[in-house]
Amino acid sequence: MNNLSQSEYNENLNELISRYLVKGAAWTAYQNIHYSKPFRYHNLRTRDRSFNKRRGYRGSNLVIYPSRTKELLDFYSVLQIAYLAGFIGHTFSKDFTNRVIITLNTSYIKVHRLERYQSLLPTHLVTRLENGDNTTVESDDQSFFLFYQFLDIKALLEEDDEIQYFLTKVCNDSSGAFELLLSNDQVNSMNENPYLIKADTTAMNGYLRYIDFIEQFFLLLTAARDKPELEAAFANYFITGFYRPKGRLQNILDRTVMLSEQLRSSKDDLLFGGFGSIARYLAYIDQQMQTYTTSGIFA
Amino acid sequence: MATPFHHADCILDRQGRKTYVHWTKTPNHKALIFIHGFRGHPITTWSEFKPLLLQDPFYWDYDLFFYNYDSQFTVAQTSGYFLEKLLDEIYETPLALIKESGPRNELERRKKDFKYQKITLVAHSLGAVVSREAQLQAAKHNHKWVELSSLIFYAPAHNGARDVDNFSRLYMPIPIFRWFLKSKMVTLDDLDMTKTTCRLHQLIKEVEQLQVGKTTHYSIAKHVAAAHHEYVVNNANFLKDPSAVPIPSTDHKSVCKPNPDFLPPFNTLKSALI
Repeated sequence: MNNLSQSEYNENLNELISRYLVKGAAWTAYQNIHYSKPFRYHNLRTRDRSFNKRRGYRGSNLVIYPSRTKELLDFYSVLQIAYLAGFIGHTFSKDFTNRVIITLNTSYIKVHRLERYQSLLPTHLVTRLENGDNTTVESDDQSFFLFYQFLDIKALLEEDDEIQYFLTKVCNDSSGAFELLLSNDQVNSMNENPYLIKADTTAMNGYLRYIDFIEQFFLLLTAARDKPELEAAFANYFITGFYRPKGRLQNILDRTVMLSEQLRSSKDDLLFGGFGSIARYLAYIDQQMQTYTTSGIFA
Repeated sequence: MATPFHHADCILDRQGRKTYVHWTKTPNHKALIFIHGFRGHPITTWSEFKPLLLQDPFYWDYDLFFYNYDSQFTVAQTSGYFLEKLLDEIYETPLALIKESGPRNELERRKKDFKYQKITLVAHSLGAVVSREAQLQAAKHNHKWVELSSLIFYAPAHNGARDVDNFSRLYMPIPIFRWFLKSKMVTLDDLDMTKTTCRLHQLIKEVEQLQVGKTTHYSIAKHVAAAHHEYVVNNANFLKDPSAVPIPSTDHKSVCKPNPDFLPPFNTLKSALI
């Protein structure tokens, strides 16, 4: 055990901020909270009659841009995991701490955080900061190893174009054609398998890449067995990748479990293979998280 | 406890593919370029290799690049061309890449005339073919990086696949996907040496010609690691390369995937670099 110095903690925090906050949708959401000026807002509202449709930005419970909010919450989830891994310290500067608390308590962010965002990690972060919790997490080589591995898998899931295509297009396809394709996986004919007529390679590659993600996720959880808090945090972070209430991901993954004999020689290594269905696996993660919420470091 | 020696990963977008880079905070003019194989990915192919590298003080002064390319629908020669372009950028304008991809303080840390003196290509399977194609292109165009480069291979496919059907089955497990995608996977043709049109026949000749020159030592691999249970590629010797050294208890896919409980693939790289 040997914790980092405060300057090293700060440097690591800055790395995470520049990698996961100061870019893309998360940064847009953050700027809307901290840098939008009220007078400008009123001016805009009087000038642009349609502006009131965008009230979700400020004050309203309506979340117009859920993806921006999600990415912002993802960043705070990463911060909480980094803390649990000992990658960053338990305290931040006063200014940064205030900004975290303001951000996560902004009305529409709070609603999204508590009602829609499946992971509990941002809530744990803000609660810890509000309570002034000074518990230092002792880090070691294994914690760092796991944290690096986690960041890699996060990048795979969230930045791979093929996976994103698969998740957004195929899983939300109301016709369920992709499930049909999997159900008829032995039929090697255009005429007999209707999905093949409009199948595209990106969707197929995205699906196979998603299976790779599941394998990598499984490796991460296995490697984190000795660090139950981190294991629960990882599971809780990626749980958002499995919940697609209106989508068809769960059906597709259930079908994949049934196909697992054909998937890999190491079929037993499929993450939820031992659970029989993705729903049972999600229930297991929920239960695991509950354990650490009530008794462990998350409490 | 290992203090982080590298910045968080940065992204270089080339041909619509994301290459991940970890710039070192203590640069010493050395770069490691990891090149995945058929249907690989800069994260999944190397799996836990990267976290191990980031923690090992031996690699504290290396910039780590995890190259990404289309390994299914683009022939290896074309992929080699694009890799060569990136390597040329890495050698000629490294600061521009840092500026493009991320850490501002790293840009300030490095001298304006910063150049690499050692570029090591670490490739798995088809990645070995792509690496050789890149070297051939660079030699043809007299690009300087090639003379500073060296090769380390894991189960290289430069002698072709033992059985192309087996190869596609390994990476494309669902039958209907295999059936649908196989016709489009031009890279499989690159590895089928039973066909006279296979590019590998020509590649071997071109590398052989390159090795006639005295200063072309870079085209001879420093180390070749083979899988213990290899059923995908042909492990025969390649021209002047050293004989492949098998890593026990590995197959074609796991040969480049170390983990904290199984370090031989990781140690192989380190001993090759020493």
